[in-house]
Amino acid sequence: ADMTIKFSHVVAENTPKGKMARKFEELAEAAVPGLDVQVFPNSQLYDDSRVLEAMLLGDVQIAAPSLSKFQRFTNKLQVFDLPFLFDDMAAVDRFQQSEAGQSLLNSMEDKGLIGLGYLHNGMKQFSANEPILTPEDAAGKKFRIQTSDILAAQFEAVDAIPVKKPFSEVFTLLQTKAIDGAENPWSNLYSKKFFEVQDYVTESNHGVLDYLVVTSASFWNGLEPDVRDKLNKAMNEAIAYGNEQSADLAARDRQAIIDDEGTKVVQMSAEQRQAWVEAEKPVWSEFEDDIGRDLIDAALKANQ
Amino acid sequence: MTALFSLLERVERTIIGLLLALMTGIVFVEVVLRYGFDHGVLWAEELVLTMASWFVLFGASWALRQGAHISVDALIKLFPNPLQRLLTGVAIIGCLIYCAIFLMGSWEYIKLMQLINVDMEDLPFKRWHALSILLVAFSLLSLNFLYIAWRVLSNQQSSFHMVDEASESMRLAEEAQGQNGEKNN
Amino acid sequence: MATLTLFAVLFGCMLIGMPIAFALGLSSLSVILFFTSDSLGSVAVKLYSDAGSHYTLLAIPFFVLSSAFLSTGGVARRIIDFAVDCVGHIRGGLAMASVLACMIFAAVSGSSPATVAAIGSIVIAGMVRQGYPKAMAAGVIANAGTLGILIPPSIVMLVYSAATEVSAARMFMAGMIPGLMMGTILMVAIYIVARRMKLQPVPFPGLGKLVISGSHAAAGLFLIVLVLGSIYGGVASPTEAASVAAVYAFLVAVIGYRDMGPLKNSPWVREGESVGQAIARAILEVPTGFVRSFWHPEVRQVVMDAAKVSLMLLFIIANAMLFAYVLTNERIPHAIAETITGWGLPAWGFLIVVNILLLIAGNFMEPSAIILIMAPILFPIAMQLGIDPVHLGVIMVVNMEIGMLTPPVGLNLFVTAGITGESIGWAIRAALPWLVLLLGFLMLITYIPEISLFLPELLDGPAKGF
Ligand code: NA
Ligand code: NA
Repeated sequence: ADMTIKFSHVVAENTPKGKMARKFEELAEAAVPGLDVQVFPNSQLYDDSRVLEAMLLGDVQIAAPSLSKFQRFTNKLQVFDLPFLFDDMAAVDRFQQSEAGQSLLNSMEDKGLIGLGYLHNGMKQFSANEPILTPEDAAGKKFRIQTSDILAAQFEAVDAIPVKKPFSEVFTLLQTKAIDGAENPWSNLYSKKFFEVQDYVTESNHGVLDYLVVTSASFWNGLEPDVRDKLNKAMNEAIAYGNEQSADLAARDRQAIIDDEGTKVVQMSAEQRQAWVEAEKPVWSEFEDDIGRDLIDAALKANQ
Repeated sequence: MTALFSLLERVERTIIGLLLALMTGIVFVEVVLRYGFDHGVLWAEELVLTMASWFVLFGASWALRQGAHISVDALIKLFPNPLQRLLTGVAIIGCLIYCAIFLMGSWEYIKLMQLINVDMEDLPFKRWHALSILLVAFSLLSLNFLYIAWRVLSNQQSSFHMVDEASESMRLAEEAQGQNGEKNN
Repeated sequence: MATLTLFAVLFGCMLIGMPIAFALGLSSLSVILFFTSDSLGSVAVKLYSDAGSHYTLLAIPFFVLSSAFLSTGGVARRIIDFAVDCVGHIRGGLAMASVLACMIFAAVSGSSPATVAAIGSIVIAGMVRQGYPKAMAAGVIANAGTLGILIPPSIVMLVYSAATEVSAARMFMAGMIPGLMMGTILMVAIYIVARRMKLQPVPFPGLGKLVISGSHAAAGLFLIVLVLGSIYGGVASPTEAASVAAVYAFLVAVIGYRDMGPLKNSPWVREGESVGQAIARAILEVPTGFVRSFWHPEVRQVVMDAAKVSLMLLFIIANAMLFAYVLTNERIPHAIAETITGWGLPAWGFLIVVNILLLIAGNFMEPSAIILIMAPILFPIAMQLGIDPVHLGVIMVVNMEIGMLTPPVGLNLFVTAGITGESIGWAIRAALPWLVLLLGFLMLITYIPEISLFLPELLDGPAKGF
């Protein structure tokens, strides 16, 4: 092959991200003669925290880590971590496609990374052994969070206790009730079997856990312009396909968890949700300086 | 040379012992705080994992001098001493190449991380500060391999095992005495 | 060509006596340098993160530290005395009790080397003292220790569930009966061997002495309660429980039994001392003794001994992961899987091939890495052939157990060699006869799926969905 692109990700082949990567391989190889796209799923090459460093060293060309992994590179992408900012996935999508959302893709170019597009994973839902409907329901409970100052603040705002633990430990900690709850999109709740060890899932849609498809600036800017255009087109098509898959999967996994007898799925009322929004607004202002007021406003505008 | 290594030994033992004890202590205290006091220590995970990297990398050369790194010596033991020393010499050259490659790679990696200057996730340091252990570790390893090479050349040992036999047999004798003492009780 | 270089350099280096960790690393580097365009920087990225980004692996140094305190601080001696009083009058009783201890410990730990380290360092010496051949003692423990990943909780099973989306709860349930079964097989074999070797049982000491030795050992035995309790009582994850075990073992050895450390010659109650005086002295001595122990040479020696074993293991693991990375990067496992699919085998034939493949892979790679790479490749083929996903998972786990005992990357062998102070070759020979049992057990597991599937189907209903 004249050119090799390594696409490294951390999930299985049959997930939306895995399928999106294969789709890109197919489309890009058809569009660019002599191109070999190699997809490495399941963290075979790098995990999410190291893949960006390997990319900067030029050993991986494309990856799609969670948005929260970019905290160290730019503060702006943390806008997606703000709790109860987006009403639903459609709002997230509108924001991502807006001018503000698209400008975020280039917010890390000084650190050597360029975003190629957003890939949906889904809205996060609370899970616990009791229904989490009001902010008071969460108070005093221990919730597992991913790396993020904002996620910690989100739980501290309602007097819950954020606990940071690696993904590999979460199942056991939830099963033994060392941790009371977690926040995950439907797809993670289902595929990682977290719902098996939680009695209640609240359809809270309180935050978003999307991926950013990212490439290295030196690789991307070094491409022939027509090759770059073709790859960009292939990537956009692959992401659109991945997002369809993601929506289907989220719906399917949500239904599977609803159908499961061991887990009860509960809904927040409009007032309950509003109570959460009020409780979490201080978190928005706390991080307003880091993220930028204009971005938060643009995100709120996407709610329509 | 011996004075240098005995100083190095004291420094290494202190750092390695502290890292192991602190890693254990921090994870333990985190459990106590979470279970007993409903408090999550958010920076503990990154600190412990960083310490684990430091422990493994920094400790590798000390473990080498202690003869802790396991090797297959069944074949080499069949050969006469000069051939044993020759093969050990070849293996040491291999290990020095290993160290040299890692030193170059670490340098490249650290320079890059210094350039983009990203922070750690939860700790108030830059990422390249934590990574700098790579240079220390592989420099120390190289130094220790050179020391073994010198001992092999000067016929003080013929394989990787650099255990000071005199003090080791003393320790074994003391342990044996201790065992007898126990039986008498 | 890259594959040939990789293995030629690995075996060449190992045969001339290069430490295994460096042989794994250097062979990986030679392929990266000559056959790929990877930067040297990325190799440093890999090694740094593999040395310390795996939280679950921290359980290894913690359990090693805990067992170092238990075995040095007189705790082990008391447990062994108690075990001998319990079962020493049965032929092979102590070895059987050791297997049982491994099974109990497996229910605490998710990793096999940790099980060997925790139990082995205590009981191997005890068995040798009771007249068992050292090789037999070490071989039994190295094998029984592999139950760590078969009896739940199991790190490897969680990795399999994550890779294939099979329920982790079902996997855990599926490991229970096979785990008990393998333990029983080992114990029966020990009984037969003990009879043939005419190992002399010791006379039963009487119930009174049993209660006394039991109460002496109580603080040590409580560790099992503490670890099991903190995991199943919802206090801690297995890795965290390992740290609890280490801190507890330190306290029991230094403050409790006082066989070592600053309070060595200062018993809880001195002769001729009143209870009040003893309590007053304890209030003063316990905190100062705790602080002084950090400078005490005996305590520091235990920590350094634990550091030595842990460093050896973790440095091998970090280099083994680099090796696995090269295998993956060269797509060696993928090529093998594609070949197998091409053969169009029936289910039973496919399972033979799976076993052979995994046994070979187990020689070179760390279990989690093997599962992550091989499961997604083998899983779809197995589904087409109508093999139950949970059954396939248990087969993979048992293969990983065997891989723990085969050189060059057999972690249990390294731990065994480490805690006995013998060579790796000696450890291989010691484990070999018992490894044959494990191979026979693998055949049972492979061709009688009910062993694995009975419990999950009984408790959880038949598999849904797949
Ligand atoms: Na286990
Ligand atoms: Na092996």
